[in-house]
Amino acid sequence: MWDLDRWQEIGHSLRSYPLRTTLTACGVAWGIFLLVVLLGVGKGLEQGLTGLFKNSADNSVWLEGQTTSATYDGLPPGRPIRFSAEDVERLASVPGIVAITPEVTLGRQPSIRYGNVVRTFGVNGVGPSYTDIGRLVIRQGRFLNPLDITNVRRVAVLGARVSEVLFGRDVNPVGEIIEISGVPFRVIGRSVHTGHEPQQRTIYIPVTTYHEALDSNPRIPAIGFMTASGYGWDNLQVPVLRYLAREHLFDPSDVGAVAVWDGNAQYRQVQLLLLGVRTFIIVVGLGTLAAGCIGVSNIMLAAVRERTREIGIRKAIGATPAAIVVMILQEAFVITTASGAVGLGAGLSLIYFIREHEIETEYFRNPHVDLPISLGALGVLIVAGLVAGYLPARQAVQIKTIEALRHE
Amino acid sequence: MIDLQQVAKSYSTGSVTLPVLRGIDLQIKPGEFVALMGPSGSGKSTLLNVLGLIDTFDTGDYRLCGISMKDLSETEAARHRVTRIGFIFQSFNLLPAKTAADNVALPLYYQGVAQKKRRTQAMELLEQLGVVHRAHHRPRELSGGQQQRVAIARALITDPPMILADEPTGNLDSTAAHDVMQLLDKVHHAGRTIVLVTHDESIAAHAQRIVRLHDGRVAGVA
Repeated sequence: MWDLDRWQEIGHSLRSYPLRTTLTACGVAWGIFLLVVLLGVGKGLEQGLTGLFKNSADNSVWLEGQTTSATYDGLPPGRPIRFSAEDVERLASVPGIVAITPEVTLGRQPSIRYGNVVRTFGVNGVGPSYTDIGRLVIRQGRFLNPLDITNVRRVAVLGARVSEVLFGRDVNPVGEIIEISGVPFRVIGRSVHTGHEPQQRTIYIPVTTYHEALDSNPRIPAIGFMTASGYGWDNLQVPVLRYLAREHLFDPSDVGAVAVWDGNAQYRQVQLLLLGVRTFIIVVGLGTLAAGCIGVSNIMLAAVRERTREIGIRKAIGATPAAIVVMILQEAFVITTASGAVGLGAGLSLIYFIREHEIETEYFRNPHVDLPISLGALGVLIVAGLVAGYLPARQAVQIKTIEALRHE
Repeated sequence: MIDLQQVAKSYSTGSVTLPVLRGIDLQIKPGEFVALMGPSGSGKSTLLNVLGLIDTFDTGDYRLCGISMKDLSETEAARHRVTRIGFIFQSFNLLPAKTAADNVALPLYYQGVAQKKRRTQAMELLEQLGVVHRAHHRPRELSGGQQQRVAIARALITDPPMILADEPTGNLDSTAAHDVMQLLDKVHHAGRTIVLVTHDESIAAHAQRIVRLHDGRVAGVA
């Protein structure tokens, strides 16, 4: 049944109806192409959204001092709240908090110098726990350790882009000396380049060194901590806010005094958003696939009808009904498989192109295509083509030869 | 070769039943050349189609080479057609997308003959029928006479004992018609049975026997 002869006969037959062959092929190729691109883009969207919140562990909470909005104990509203190093220490002993870090940032980005290269980047003063809370992954060297903090060492961990700009791609910066606002720092580590974009453009130094060398004001604008399992902002907010309110003299119910960023709530929201994106893609994908199936079916139906007379002639000169059904099925198979492969190739190429040229935004990055799903979709279309070919073919061969011959 | 016993057939459209063949008895011997004649609606074409197994009959019996052709499945009918019968049509019925040679070779494809052999045989037949120079042209590039020669070649390629021709000269001018009839005479002299439907007396004159049909019955044999 799979002899060369039959394939030649099919090739011949497909060439005989160039318009129909082209239309079917375009329909199938386009359908698969759309589906592959849709899946790829959906994945990119998913990765982008996940990456957007990559700078915080799902069980992390960030607090930022704002200004009071209510009077408290005779004090007027509008007073700025600034945390202190003591707050960090005290909060660390609150049950349910497993890791904590201060975070200080210069209001204006300082100039960073290495050799003749001078650039500006953000500089953050943090503690050793920042890697866990902020999900910073180190690729070379190490992150800050407790001794760096207590000994006020002038050491720096570079975000991947910072390292790339100052030292060049694929150069290990560990051990080099850079100057931050004229103060020399030894590079002790470098982050991976796949992380959160702003983190890649930041230099991390010990919070103590930060206050000693760059900014003598001991204020701490933000505190981040991780919660133990079973704890979350829900059950930590009372002790944490009560402590801070007492220490900084504000009403614990004053929502303006401290801004709270709850990683877990964010995580749940992102999960919900991702679920929405996935559902959308599945619905649109199935729609595309259904449209493709209907398209193939229609064309096969029209094709068989158009060929009723040809089928009559073939039967009159000795073709069995089975031979004709097989011929039509093989044509449907060849055309859907070949054009589906073309669509698949085109879709994969486009997604690959997007990846290679790193076309990405905050919400979209690193798209990729699930090959088994794409092949499955192609399989569905092929089966649809076969079913769509089989039913009318079966009908066509049951028409009496003489009637088929009279068909115009 | 052919033995028809009370073959009857009618078309029914809704409640109306229209008889086309009302009990035909007809015997045709191997090697005989028979013309079927009669006015339109007499059932001569239907009879030919029944003989060629491209149409069915309701009652009676039709034995071809001693085998009953009653209630054949489509697949069985196809097997008999491809081995025993060569069909020639008024409108040629060549496949427009195929070249003359491919059209001629097609029945052998359904017999499972290898491609090389199909080609050689097709070219030989086209040579014999004087249209080998048109072998690689498509039907629409051929004259009516050439198309009918190609169709005859196609009917002959499986070397069937019986050739059925339905008004084979109906679409041809007189010169082409004359050529085609000479060819059929040759085919007949080569030992084949020919049954031909025509309404043209001069064409029928090529046959050894003329069977006249009228209103679905055999009205006379001459």
